Amino acid sequence: MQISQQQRQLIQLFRHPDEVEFSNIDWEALILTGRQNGFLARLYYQLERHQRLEDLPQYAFKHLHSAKVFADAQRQQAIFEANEINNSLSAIEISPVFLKGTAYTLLDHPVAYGRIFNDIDVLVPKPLIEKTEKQMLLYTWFPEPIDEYDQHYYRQWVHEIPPLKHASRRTIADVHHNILPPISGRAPNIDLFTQYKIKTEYQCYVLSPAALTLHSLVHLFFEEDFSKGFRDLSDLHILFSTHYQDEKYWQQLRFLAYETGFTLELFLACHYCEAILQTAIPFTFKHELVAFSPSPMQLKCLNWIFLRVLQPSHPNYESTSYRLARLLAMLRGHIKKMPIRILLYHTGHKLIKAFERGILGRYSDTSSNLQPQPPDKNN
Amino acid sequence: MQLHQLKFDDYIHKMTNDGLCLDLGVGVFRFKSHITSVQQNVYEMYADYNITEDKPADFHACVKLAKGPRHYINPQVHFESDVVTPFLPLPKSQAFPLLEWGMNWCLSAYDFNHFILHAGVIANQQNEAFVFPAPPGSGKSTLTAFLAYSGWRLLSDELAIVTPDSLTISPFVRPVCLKNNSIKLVKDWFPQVKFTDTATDTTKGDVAHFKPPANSVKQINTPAQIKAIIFPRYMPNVPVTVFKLDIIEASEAIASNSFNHNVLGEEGFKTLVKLVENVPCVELQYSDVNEVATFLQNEEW
Repeated sequence: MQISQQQRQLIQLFRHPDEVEFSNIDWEALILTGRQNGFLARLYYQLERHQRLEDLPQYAFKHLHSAKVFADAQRQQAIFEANEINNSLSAIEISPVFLKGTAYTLLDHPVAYGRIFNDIDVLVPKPLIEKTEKQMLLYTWFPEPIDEYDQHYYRQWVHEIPPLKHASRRTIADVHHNILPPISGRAPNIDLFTQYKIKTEYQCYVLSPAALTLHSLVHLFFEEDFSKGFRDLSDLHILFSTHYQDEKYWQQLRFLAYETGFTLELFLACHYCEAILQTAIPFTFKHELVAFSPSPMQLKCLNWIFLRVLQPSHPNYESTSYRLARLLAMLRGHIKKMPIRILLYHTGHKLIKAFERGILGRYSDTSSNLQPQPPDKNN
Repeated sequence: MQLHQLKFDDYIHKMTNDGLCLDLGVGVFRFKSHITSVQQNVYEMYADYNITEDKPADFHACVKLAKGPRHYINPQVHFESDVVTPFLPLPKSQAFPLLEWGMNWCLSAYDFNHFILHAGVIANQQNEAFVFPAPPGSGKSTLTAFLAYSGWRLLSDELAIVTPDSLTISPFVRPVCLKNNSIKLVKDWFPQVKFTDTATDTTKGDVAHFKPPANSVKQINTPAQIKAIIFPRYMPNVPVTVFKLDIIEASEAIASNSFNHNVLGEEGFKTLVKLVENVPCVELQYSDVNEVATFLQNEEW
């Protein structure tokens, strides 16, 4: 498969920072690609690890550093918010387990450095969801206004409740009771994951690195939006690489994937990390993975899609085949998450909404919480 | 080469293809637009800025027509920075103000190397900068405009770009944005200054932009040192009256006008401390801008 120069250079900079000749890089295009993929701050830390920051042209340093400052602020904020949530919930004897970016941060894991994320992800047992929600309300975490349909969508089908926003700090918390929508039929027994929870130095619970890895890769291969696909793949790369020598990690990963039925996803994660980022996977582990491989024909189809959508992307150089791959990946993600009958119903509803917006203007629907904010502070 | 030296046709070619790159000191902006009012206003307002040919652009500013059936009834425009659309679309008549606001957004979204304050900034002959942080309606822009066209150096009418943990301020010279009654005031005071058409009915009322003084544009790469931070408050019929703020009041007032001290974290805090410990911070009530000019010249800080 052909990839563009920006894609290749971004991957090279991340994987082999020592070998890259900086003067050969079109930095403007590279910075835009990196930013679009939420990758600039991660690149900063990678170049720092390889002591190559000093060699950067001033232009590149300036932009990477700015992204790093922003990512650092997010990391600090995540720790603060996790503590807030932890304290408010422990008051009613619920101990939440933090997931994804917040968990990496609380663990001070290498994958947390330079990783941009949008919300604080929390897991609580399903029977405690209502109590959790009420308690968070007391601490001014309010749901954003959403319409009745979306309310139904969350409550009936999905593994999380509508996002909660803190009234003054505007941080978003996603409260989950599982890692996949129950309606998908693939939601695992979540106790299998939480049995591997560990307490961090901040007294908050997070999943173990192996369980976090499995969550991350399940998330990726059930995803429908691949705009951050490359960033997510690089998360897996860093997780795999950090624990390369840790036998327990691989054992737990394999066992958990097997118990929860995500062996195909585990295979795919290792497969695409190797293919795109040349990630080192322990030999014995790779050997065991063969049993989880899909049929050659299936793999061929999946390769056609994922070898495209997991590359760094930018609308400026998206090929037609890339767009098609992204469409297929989106369809695949949706079908995996919802039975077809419900999916059609859901899609129909969303299409009507989109049509209304098309007629009345893009931002006519004031109930949507995805509106960009109007300009302020710049009169 | 300055923009006014570029032939209009060549200019339009750039604006509608790879973009026109101008050096604005704190960064190179790549402008793109097919919209006539934007093209004409950029050509006029940014006439004295240097075109850069071989430097990569730091910020991307594009205004384009919104798509959809609405296009035929009540056309709207978007601001786009590369592929990001941070704002709601606005009526086409506000295309140029939207570009200007979008450019401010670029700095606030992508430049965390500086401590950025919402403030007007002017400097005297000795390169000493006076910073006017203030919320809308305080007369900050009118005051900045008056001083800028009366021989002081304009650094910015909107954003004070401070190097963290220092008193150094970088110019971000741009067309001066004036609102409502100030538009007529400044036109009367300085009839020689070029200005754009007034965009009516924006979220801020009527808005017009005034061309920045050529002398200030020439010095976009010359930083200045902050001499005083002044919170202006326009009040009818009062003589110039100054209240000194203590360290707590000053840091709160500065923080509330800062775009990013919280994102900068420790660096942001250090900068705040540096400012309040080394620079006098005052609230200034005034009704006559001439009195303010005299006051700034004569006061021993």
